Parts: sequence; structure tokens; C-alpha cells
Amino acid sequence: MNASQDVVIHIEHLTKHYGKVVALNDLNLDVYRGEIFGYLGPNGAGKTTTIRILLDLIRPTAGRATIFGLDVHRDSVRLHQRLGNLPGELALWEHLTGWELVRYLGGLRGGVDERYVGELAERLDLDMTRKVKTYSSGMKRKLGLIQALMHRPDLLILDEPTNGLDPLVQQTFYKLMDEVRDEGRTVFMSSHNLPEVEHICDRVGILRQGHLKAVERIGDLKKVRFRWMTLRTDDHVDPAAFEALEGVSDVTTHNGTVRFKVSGELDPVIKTAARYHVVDMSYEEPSLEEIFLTYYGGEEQQ
Amino acid sequence: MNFGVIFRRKLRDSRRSILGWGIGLALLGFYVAVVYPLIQGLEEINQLLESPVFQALVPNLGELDYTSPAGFLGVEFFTWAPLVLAVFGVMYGLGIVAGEEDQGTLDILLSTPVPRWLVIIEKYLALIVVVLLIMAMTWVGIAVAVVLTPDLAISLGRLAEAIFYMLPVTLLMATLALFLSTVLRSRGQAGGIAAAFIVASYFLNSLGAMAPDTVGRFRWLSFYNYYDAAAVLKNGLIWGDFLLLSAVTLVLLVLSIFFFERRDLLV
Ligand SMILES: Nc1ncnc2c1ncn2[C@@H]1O[C@H](COP(=O)(O)OP(=O)(O)O)[C@@H](O)[C@H]1O
Ligand SMILES: [Mg+2]
Repeated sequence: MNASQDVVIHIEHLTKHYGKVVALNDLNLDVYRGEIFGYLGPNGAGKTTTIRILLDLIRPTAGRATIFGLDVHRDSVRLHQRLGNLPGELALWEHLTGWELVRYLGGLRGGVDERYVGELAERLDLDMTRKVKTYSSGMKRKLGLIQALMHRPDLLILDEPTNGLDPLVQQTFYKLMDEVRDEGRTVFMSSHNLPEVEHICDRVGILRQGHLKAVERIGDLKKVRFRWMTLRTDDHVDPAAFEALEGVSDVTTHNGTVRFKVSGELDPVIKTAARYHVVDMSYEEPSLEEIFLTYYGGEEQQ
Repeated sequence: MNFGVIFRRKLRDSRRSILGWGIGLALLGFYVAVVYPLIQGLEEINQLLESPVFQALVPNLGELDYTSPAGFLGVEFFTWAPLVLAVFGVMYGLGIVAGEEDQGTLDILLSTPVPRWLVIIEKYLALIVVVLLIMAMTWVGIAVAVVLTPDLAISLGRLAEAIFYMLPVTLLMATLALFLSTVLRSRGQAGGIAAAFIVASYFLNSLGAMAPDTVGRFRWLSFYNYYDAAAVLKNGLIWGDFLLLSAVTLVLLVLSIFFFERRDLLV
């Protein structure tokens, strides 16, 4: 994965201003063949901006990007033959049926493998004979996914692909992505949802206010992984009992409720909790901001 | 690159629009033509029309007699038909890129191996076919009336020429709207300016006929100035005007592609 011919996306000093807004600032990034790269950042971080530059829908203020060694602007037509794209704000031709839409876009790509499309539609459970205007937003996302996948592109660029998909369909999506990777193809997907990225990505780039803060293997990010646990009990809880545990921090108590951060093993926490009469328990994902703060020990706060 | 896909899609999507506008213009033409015998004998109208106030109402008459078939159709049909087609052209022109950009479908379309210029060219070629079909329907409407109305002595060939003569005006307005939408990035603004140009064309022409020394000086800005249907009905196509409008249109089309190739697509 380090051989230079295996670089699929190469981004160099990419900068984009919208008037006074700096949406991307001197971005440098390489994505390699056969990986699922998660492009993670809160809303407004610049994910969509990056993706639209890669697709030559907007033009950078400075810097450049190549995909498969081809310039994203100069060689866009040749490049698009090998790309599949799912926009974040998906808009489709409402007056067409699913099939008509797929045939239209397929026509622009020189043909469409209707058997494969049929297979995808079946796996995603989408009725392709209906008009897009009768689709729910979840169905539209499915059709968007089908049109991105249908020509088996070498690179998939997906902007928040699981937004609006119900959990069952998300599982199908994860499976599809695994298959794409197994075939040696590459996925670049943006997300603001860390658990999702953790679930399927090999590496993740963390973007914030137009700056790429870190690019990490998922395994490394997991080391700083934590959850928020909240226990509601009938008793008076002694915070010290939890503070003493390894991997537990930030303990606060309020009446019978205790809340703390857990990283590492859960077993000691459960055993300690068992001493009390637990009425309710919740176990939450940290927000992206919290992960950042943990990752950088707060020093990168802006 | 796969040619013709967008062209065929656009034609298919325009079916209803062709029928609507085509039938509308055909009925208008038919109606005007069958009314002709009613005014044919009213020679006094010509005297009335010599007064400057009425000149404004029939600015496109030229040297022709209002009660002649060419004069009557020239005023009563070919003053309004280009307005109708100009409005159609503006609507179509705004749809070429701005419509899909507003909808957001351009992101998907341009993620396929299709260059931006090809999107414009193919939809533009579809426009020409669409307008020709609307014109063919218009011709049929008037031709039927001409056959049914022996007094309306007009050559069906000349009629075809006069109708075809509206093509450059229609394309000019479509291209102006397209051009404005590639430069201004707002469909509303682009449509507003194009519509204002249509209205201005009409009034510069009609008021210009009434007051040649003031408003009349700016008559060259009106598309009607390059569009003398009555003369075409009588003597055939005026190629100079036809080519002049076409040349302006071509320049606008090239500029539209130039600007559209360079700019960011809106989300
Ligand atoms: N067309 C635009 N005009 C002005 N500002 C924009 C435009 N598009 C995006 N922005 C701004 O650029 C920043 C990055 O936006 P975006 O790339 O959409 O972020 P993300 O996809 O990560 O949510 C945001 O501050 C957004 O408001
Ligand atoms: Mg976004």
C-alpha cells in the first residue's frame, strides 16, 4: 500500500475560498488503492467542498488534485468513466422511473449492466419501476447508491452515504462496501459519524474548519476511544468507587445518578455497578468534538 | 464520450411542451387566418392606419396594405407569434443549465463522462428540433385555414418561410437566457432580464414607429427590427437579418460555454 502507483487520490495544497469563507485550507492527502477511506468532520468542515473539487464541479482557489494520476479538472471526462459518485444533497430527475434514470446515466457511460442493477435493487429492496417523485428520501438514497455502483467504478466517492438509510439498509451498504474493497477497488466516503466510519473504514482523515487535523488508521483512533456511561440508581453512589477503576474518568454524581467516561474494559465497571440497585443505564458514543479533544489532549482547541 | 444521450433525453422530456406550444400557436394562426375575410373589404382601415397612433399598433406593416393577406397576417399573427416563441425560448434557455443546477441534478449529470460544453450543445440541438416541430405545427394550423379560406391568397411556401424566419429570434432569446444564467448564477435574475428584453423589444418597436426621432433611434435594439414577417410573406426570406441574428446568437452561445466551463456549480 506504500508503492506510489497505488496512490488513487493525491491532493496537494488544496485550498478553497468562497468569498471570505475559507472552506478548505492547504489540504494534503493521499488515498490508496483498495482501502475504504473515511473523511470525517462535523458539519461545515469542508467535506462536500473537497468532494466537489475532486469531481470537478467546483474549482480550487489554490492547489491541485489527481485521481489515478489524472488531473481532476483537465482529465475530468476520462476520469469520470472510472468514478462513481453519490452526492450528499442528492437530487435526481423526479419525472423518471428508477429504471429510466439508470438507463439515462448508463447511456452516458456507454451502457448499463441491467442484471447487476437488478441485483443491487433487489439487495437494497428498491422498486425501480416507480417514478422518483413517488420515492421517499430513503428510496432516493438507495437509487443514488445504485447509480454510483452500477458501472463497477474503480473509485467510489460517497458524500455521507448512510444519511437517511435505515439501519437494515445500512448493513447492506456496509456489505456492499466490503465487496468493493475485496475487489481491490477504492472508496472515499465522508461522514460525521465516528462509529460508522470505525465500522467499515481502514483509515480516517479528520477534517475540521477546513484543516485536515489527522490521518489515522482506525486501530490507532480506537486507542483513544471512550464512551459515556450513565447509571441511575436508588442508592447514594460513592463517586470514589468508580474513580478508582482503570479507564474511568470525569465522574460526576447527581442524586442517585452517576456519569463517567469509560475507555478500555467494561468488566470492572459492571462489577462495581452491581453493588448498587441500578434502575437505568445508558451507554453513549462521544461526539466527534470529544474524540478530537481526547486525541489531542485539548491542545488543538480553537 | 457518448453523444446523443442528453439530446434524446431532452427531446423526450420536451414532448408535452412541443404539443402545448405547437397547438397553441397553430390555433392562434388558424383563428387569425379565418378571420381575414371579415376585414378584407374594409378599405377604410388603411386610412385609419396612416395616423401615427395606429402606426404604433401595426409597426410591422412596412409598405404593405393591412387588408392584403400578407399585411394582415404580418400584423395580426407575426407580431404576436415571435413574442410567444421568445417567451418559450427564454424558458427553455433557463432550463439548459440553470434549471438542473437549481434542482441539483447537474451534480449527478456532470459526474458522468460528459463535458460541460456537451451538455449545452446537446440541449441546444434539441432546442432547434423542438422549435422546428412547434413551427411545423404552426404552419399546419395556418395552412389548413388558408385552404379553407379562398380569399386568403397566400403561398404556403412563403408562409413556411415567414414561420421559419422566427427561428433566429427564438434561438436568440433562448441563448440570451442561457448566457445570463451562466453569468448571473440566479435563474430569477437571468429570466427577469431576458423577459425585460422581450418587453423592451416590443415597445421600442411599436413606440419607435410612432416617434421615429426619439424612441425610434433605439429601434435597432429591438429584435423586431430584424424581423419583417410581412415582407417575408410577400417576397421570401431576408437572409441579411436572418444571418445577423444568427451571428449574435452564436456569439452568445460561445460565451455561455466559455463562462459555464469555468465557473463553480452551485449546490
Ligand atoms: N457555495 C458556497 N458559498 C459560500 N460558502 C459555502 C459554499 N459552500 C460551502 N460553503 C461554506 O464552506 C464551508 C464548508 O462547507 P462544506 O464543504 O459543505 O462542509 P461539510 O460538507 O463538511 O459539511 C462551510 O462553512 C460552508 O458554509
Ligand atoms: Mg457536506
